[in-house]
Order: sequence, then structure tokens, then C-alpha cells
Amino acid sequence: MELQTTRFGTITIEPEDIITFPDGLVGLSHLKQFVLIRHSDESPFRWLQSVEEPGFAMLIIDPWFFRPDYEVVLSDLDVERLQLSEEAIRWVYVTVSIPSGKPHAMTANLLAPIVINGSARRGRQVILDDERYTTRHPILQEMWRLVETQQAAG
Amino acid sequence: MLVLTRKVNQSIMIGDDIEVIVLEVRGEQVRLGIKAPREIAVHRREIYEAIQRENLMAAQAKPEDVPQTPAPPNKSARSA
Repeated sequence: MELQTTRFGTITIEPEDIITFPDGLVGLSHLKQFVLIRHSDESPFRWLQSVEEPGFAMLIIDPWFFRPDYEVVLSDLDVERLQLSEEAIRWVYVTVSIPSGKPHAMTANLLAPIVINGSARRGRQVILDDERYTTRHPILQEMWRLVETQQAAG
Repeated sequence: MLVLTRKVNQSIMIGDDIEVIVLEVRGEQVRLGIKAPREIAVHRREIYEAIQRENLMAAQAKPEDVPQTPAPPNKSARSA
């Protein structure tokens, strides 16, 4: 099937590419169906493109790309809504905000990751109860800290 | 807006399933207990709003603003 998008033009998707978010996104509960689009090969960035709204696509990134110690603890409700079984393939992404004209100041929201059950094609934006995480982690500073930690460890 | 006055350990019911209990009042702080079905999400409003704001901001991003890969860490990135 064909999907009209504002950013990527008309793209061809298979019905099984569609990921259903039964509760939508936080503050955007009306958006329930998305497809994942790679930014480019080798890039840690993806786009979560709405099937319902051609103009809505969130920039997301693999959180472990810059925070290898990142931990996502799911509640029973999260597991249930995702229909997550032990053997299900799970993907986790976090949203990325780029201040206008300042890509180096981009931040990631580690407090509310997007968790996807790749096997059942279900997704959910989870709100973590973890004081280590905020809605705005500077990505480049996190990467710098990572390098320093690795250097300190020899 | 409905306004009710409650004392400590008193509660209000919202529908049949949701109960909000006043646990403690200390100066400007009020501790609330919330009993609700598991499928009802309960969050502090400012956290909910902050996440909504980040979601909308992530949806403002344009493909041309996205680096192929985030720049490798260096001094300039550190001071930026």
C-alpha cells in the first residue's frame, strides 16, 4: 500500500509494517498507527511516521548509541498493553528535539521511551519512574561523557 | 470546576473506580494517594506536559537538520 507523507513523499509500505500504539503517544492519544523509517543506513536515527497524519513524524534515536547504561523498566501495565512475551522482539527508541538552527544542542527524552513489540507490531510510549532520567539529555554531551568514562577505565 | 473541602484521610471518588485520598498536609505540600484501575495512567501534570512538549518538538525536526551520525565527541561539541 502507498502512504502519503509530508517529509518523505509517497512511500510504499506493507500492512505488517504498521505498528499500532493502542494508547497513542503521550499528549497525542489520537495518533495510533505508525511506521518506522530509517534516516539512512548506518544512522542511529529513525522517524516514527504517523499513518494517520502525513505531516506528523517524530525524530527518534537508539538510546544505547549515546547511553549504554540506559535502563528501561516496564510496568505490568506496559507489558500488558504491548502484549510483550519473553521471546518477543523488542525495540526501544527515544525522541530527539533539535533546537532551531542548533543541531549540536539536540536533546533526547530518556524519561519517556518508545517501546515497540516488533513481533506483535504494538508500541507504547512508556513513562519511567526513574530519577536518573529527564526529558532533555544533551546527546553530544552524553557521548563526550561516555568517551571520558571509557578513557578513565583504560 | 467542582471544588470540595477535605480533611486528612478523607477522599473523593471519581466514578466508581477512582479514589483520591488526602494523606498528609504539611505547609504548602499535600500528599495524595490515588487508587485507580491499572489501565488509568496517573502522572504529575508537569511531567506529562514536558513529554508532550518533547513529542511535538521531535515532530518539528526536518530531515536536513539530522546529522548522518551525531558528530564524534570533541572539544567544540563539549563547549557547545
